[in-house]
Amino acid sequence: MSGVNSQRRIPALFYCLLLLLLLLLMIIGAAAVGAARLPLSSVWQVFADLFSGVSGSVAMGSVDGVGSAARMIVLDVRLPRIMSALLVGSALGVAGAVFQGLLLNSLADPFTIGVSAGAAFGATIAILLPTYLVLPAFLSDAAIVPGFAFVGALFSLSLVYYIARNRGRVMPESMILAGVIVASFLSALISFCQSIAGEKLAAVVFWIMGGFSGAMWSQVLLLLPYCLVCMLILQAHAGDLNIMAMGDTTALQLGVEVYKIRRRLLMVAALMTAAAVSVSGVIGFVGLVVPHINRILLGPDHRRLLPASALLGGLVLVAADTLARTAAGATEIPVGVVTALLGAPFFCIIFKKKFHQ
Amino acid sequence: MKTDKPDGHENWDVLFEAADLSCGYGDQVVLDRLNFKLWPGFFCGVLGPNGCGKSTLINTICRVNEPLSGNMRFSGEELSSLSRQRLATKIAVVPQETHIAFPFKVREVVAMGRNPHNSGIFGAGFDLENEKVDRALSATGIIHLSDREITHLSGGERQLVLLARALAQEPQLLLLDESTSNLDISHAVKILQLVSARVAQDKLATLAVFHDLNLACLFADYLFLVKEGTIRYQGETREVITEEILSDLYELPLQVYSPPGLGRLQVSVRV
Repeated sequence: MSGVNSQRRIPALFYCLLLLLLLLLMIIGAAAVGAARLPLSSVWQVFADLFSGVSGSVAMGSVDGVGSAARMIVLDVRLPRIMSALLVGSALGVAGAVFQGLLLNSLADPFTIGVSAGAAFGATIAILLPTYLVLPAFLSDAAIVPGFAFVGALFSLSLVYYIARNRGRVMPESMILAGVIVASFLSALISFCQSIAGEKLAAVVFWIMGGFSGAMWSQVLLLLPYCLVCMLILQAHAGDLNIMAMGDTTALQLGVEVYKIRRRLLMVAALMTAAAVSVSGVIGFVGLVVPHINRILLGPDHRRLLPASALLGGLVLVAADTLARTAAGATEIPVGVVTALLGAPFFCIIFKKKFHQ
Repeated sequence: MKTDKPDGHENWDVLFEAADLSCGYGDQVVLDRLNFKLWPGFFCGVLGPNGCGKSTLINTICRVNEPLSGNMRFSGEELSSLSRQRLATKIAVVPQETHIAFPFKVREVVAMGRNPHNSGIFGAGFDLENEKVDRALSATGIIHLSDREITHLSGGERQLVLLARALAQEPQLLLLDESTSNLDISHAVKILQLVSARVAQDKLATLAVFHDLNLACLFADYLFLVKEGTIRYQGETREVITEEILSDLYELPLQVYSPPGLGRLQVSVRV
């Protein structure tokens, strides 16, 4: 074609189908490995039974059926965890692509505007609360932490939005600035809480590092429709995001209601991030790297970038979580550590290849 | 002062009409109660010293800025009654320069011009295979750049892409906001010739803000000369380009001459 500047791009449909296939293989593989290693064939059998509609009791009764222990491990322990990682990874991937598009900054990620700091603060409060308040027994840590984290995320989001807003308009630069300010303020509050946390310190630190060890089906079933709705709204505006990359003035001249749409997209992407963070803690790097890799491979068209980022984000986080729970034997590595440890070098290689030819 | 239709165009309808239009930002009035008309098939130019509000005028017409008062009509319709999307099917703008954050390909950028014509929830955006995109790319002579990334083009090529995008909008009114100010003379002339051709062939109405007096003299049929918040002079180019008017406008002794064979006036500084 015409010179060195014309970049080769991968056909989006092919790429997405490939990711989908890898994702399915990854799910089956992830369901097989762990403290008890299951043969792939029995994992496959569990899935096959699940989708062919064979009820648990019938299958358990059958002679060649998979053992009920394997079934329980896959369906009750591993699958909710895998699905949580998948959903959170997709949400972070898509939110990252949207934030980078909205803020016209490829260094932005879902946490740039302070949502994660708010969630972490909320979770910290929830973890420390039983020390100062006698709570009813049913309000265990596991029950209240995600709720508090979500409220914390909403709180920081409103604060950032309030600071950044000027005569009904939100400008990208002021949003980033407000996000940095609010995040550093909340981080100071979290540090203060940690200093008085005493024996709860480990719990706070561990939550913030992120992970899926307590994943439950109930969480997955809440998160799934919520994220799907958010993603559909974002996808409907993917074309507008492309045009908004031309700058506000040009986008207005091309018929895009820039201020209204930016407000809507910021809110939806931040609400999706808030839900993801409140389930998983702060998992960095996925929301930054996944959209980047996709933009390099597919080009900057958000109509392709968003679905591809959902798939790649899910794939990456399921893989990272599987490593996190298996790599160090019985000890679980925080999944955020895995994503950063593997993501950073990988990203550097791609970056070097792409921009320093 | 002449505000009637230009000579030889008495039968043409007015495409755009501003009545007592005031433009500015908040309390600050930049342009005060302007009255002017734009006609299809007519290349109008705006001239005036820096900071006189030329760009503010362009931004008000395309409703990036809301007018402070007065009204604007497009083909008889109140401009403020049109949705932004509908407006973008009628008025297109070629800006001075655009910072583009992501490496979109030329074809993608031009296809964005089709955005206002698309509708539907997931139909928003642009259709890369649209024949109108191809037509805009060939009309501006950049079809060979289709697969290049806009971030890698030279200033002149990039400006051609922005013109192609504006043409893909299929507007009735084209606004040039100092579109050629950053270009060398050959690219500037190329862009203005392309626009002139569309004005002549498609009866496109054009309002162009000029920095360069001589380019304005070469391409504009009709000129608005803006100073201190008002249109101080307007008329056909050969009528308003006089030493007296220009010296008043720019507060500088200027000489107007007619190069033999050109058929257009030119201006130089008298020092």
